[in-house]
Amino acid sequence: MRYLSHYLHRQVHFKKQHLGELVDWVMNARPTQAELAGLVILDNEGRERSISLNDVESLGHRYIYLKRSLGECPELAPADDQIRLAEHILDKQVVDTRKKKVYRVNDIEVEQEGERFLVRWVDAGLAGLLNRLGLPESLQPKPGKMQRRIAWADVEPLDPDLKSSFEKLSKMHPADIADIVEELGVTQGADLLERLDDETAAETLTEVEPEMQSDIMEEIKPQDAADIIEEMEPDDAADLISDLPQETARQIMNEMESEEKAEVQELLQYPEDSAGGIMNNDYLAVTRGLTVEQVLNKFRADQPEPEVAYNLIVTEAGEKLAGMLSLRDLVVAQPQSKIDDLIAPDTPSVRPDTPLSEVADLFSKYDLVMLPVVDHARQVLGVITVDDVIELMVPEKWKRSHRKRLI
Amino acid sequence: MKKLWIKLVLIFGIVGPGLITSFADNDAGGITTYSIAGARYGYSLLWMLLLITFVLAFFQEMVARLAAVTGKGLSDLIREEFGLRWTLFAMIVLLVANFTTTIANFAGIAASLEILGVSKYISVPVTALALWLLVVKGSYRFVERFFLIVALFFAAYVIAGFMAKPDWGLAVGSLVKPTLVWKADYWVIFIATIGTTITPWMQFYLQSSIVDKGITMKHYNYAKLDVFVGTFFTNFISFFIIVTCAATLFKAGIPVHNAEDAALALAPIAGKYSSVLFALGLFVASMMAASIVPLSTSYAICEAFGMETGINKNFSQAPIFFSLYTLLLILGGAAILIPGLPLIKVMLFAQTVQGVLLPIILIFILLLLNNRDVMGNHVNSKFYNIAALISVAGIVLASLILLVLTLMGKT
Repeated sequence: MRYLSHYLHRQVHFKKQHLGELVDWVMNARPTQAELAGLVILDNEGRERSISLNDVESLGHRYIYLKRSLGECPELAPADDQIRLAEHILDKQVVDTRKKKVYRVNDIEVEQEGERFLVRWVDAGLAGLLNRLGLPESLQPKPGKMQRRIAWADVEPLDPDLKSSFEKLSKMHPADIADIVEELGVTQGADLLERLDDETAAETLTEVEPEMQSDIMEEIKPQDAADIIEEMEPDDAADLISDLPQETARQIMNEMESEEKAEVQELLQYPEDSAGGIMNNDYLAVTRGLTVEQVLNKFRADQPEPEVAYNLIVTEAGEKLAGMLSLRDLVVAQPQSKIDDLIAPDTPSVRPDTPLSEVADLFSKYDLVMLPVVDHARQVLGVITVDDVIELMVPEKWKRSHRKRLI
Repeated sequence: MKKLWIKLVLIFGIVGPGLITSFADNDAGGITTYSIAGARYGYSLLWMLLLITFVLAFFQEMVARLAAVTGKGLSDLIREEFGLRWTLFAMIVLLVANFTTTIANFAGIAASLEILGVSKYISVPVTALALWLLVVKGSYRFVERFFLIVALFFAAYVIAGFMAKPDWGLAVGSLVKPTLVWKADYWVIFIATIGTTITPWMQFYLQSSIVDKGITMKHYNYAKLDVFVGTFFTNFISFFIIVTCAATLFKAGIPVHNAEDAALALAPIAGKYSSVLFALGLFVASMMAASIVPLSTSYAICEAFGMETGINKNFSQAPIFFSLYTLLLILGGAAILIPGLPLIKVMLFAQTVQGVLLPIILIFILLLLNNRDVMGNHVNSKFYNIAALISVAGIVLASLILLVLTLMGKT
């Protein structure tokens, strides 16, 4: 194991000739294998030269020797996934995708395998810090104590210059990415969201605390913000848009596709602290008289979002509520049976102006995961899902944000 | 109508960091230094206060811009742009400056309660423990309640200033007429006035508050307004402390050697209760800063070295953060318990240390503000840089003059 920082600013020689000093390492980053590809040398005229590792004779403890003079070394070919370690990783923040936290990099550990140098660990602990400050071995904490090493396979660099698409980060759960966003703050959080794909960004944004959601949306270009909001559940999107300053909300709405926009606008008319304010109007409804098989086919074709997929709304003539159907009952029933026999009788329902406390009581009393919202004519307007109710019930302090409060 | 409402919310939501920072800035060391400046040199240091107001506004604006553009803390940025060794240097400077400030604030707590007849051997350990519990238990919002009491206390100085019937012509004239006295004591107070008006910790604290509040370039104009209002306020109050002390203590020939002397400045408004009023005000102002300064030190240092921070974590999650905070309180308090320590001298000395160390932090800020990678199109303009450089050079020059005069023995 070698610490990269030990080699920075080492003098570079060819035979007896002094060529310059080492200022950076170039690495080819692939998701799992990270290999050093070359060195960046500041030559005696103050110019930076990138050369391949193949031109290096030896990496000694005092000097680095090349196989030929700098003039004869070809320039290292730039590649898409190249990272300059000192510039983009050392002293910068990275996400440990296993621990799901942001760390600051104190040092980078490299292992030699034959001719190749592989980046193995990123050091974010006190041990790496003291080592880098040049503390003698005898004064340093014992290995294992104060150490925080992150395997390269779990490291997602955050440096904005890298323009990466966050492959490793995207695999994390959106709620965990949201924690990272909250930890990074509005500016960097917005930057991170913009680089995720729209769907992941939408799922992440939904999980970020509401106050910060609107701050972040104001930072993002209306066009990009609209793309993200379109991917959100309409109820979450409506909550977010109603929190935005009017002007920003208008700009974003203008950029949205008509279908999603209509869904959101419909929800915006209800006050936030009523059943209408937390309802979702993007759900799966089927009509009476269908067979189980027909309904399941429709389910496959529509692919509803997970939060509204446990139950289906059954309607009769004129969009009126006939009842609810659970996915479990559908799956265990015979394919040819009629769904009318499966509908739970006297399904509870609420009106859009029903107070939230009453909504929560119904969920708790009947152990619901979904509750239809209807108008005075029993026409279905939307559904309330259990995740939004839990959101209401869990006190703020349980979800203590990572943002520090100095004041 | 709704637009106006949003604007108001914005102003009150965002008018905060700058104002709170500047109120905390008039802490024990501040009140003491301004009192001494007015008591020993009358109106003659006022020209420096006017200059330093502009310098403060300048640098606070830069820090606010730095925070709004990057969304990162000051120590984060120093680490990312200057590397580990420079960060260590900056953090040692900050730690020394903030530790002396913490000592000064405990001196303020001790001095104020001594006026009310409480021994420092009781008051310092009790308040240190209270401050420690508040943070470790994570109930920190009390600082805002201090805010109001401190504001009332400062209002008392403004009223007392008017009631003392100062020579307004001379006071306003002194704002623009530089006077220099070639004695080391004058330069100690000169640098202390700089060091207590623009503190190293303020820069870090303001930057974190702005980042925490999620203020970005979109709302930058409000943040700027907040910073300028804060700067004006803090120095408006400093002006009145100096003027009040000049009109009372300087006139009566009391050079201020202890807190009771300084309290006499409030006689025009409070008569025989002036010492009680002064004690209460000094106590609350000291408490406010004694809670903020050690905390912001822990934040800055742990951020710089990538350790866990946050008062909403527990001791095992953020050991270094809490240990540092605890240590600053214990050592800061313990220093005051040395028998026979001249509290006023300690407070003044701490401000001088801050003034001497200040340029180092300001240079870091200036370099960051000129870095295009960090600031993009919001880098400093030429005019800004020249003004800032002159300010820094002026502060360094004052430190050198003090050094020379001390060596020559001109006290």
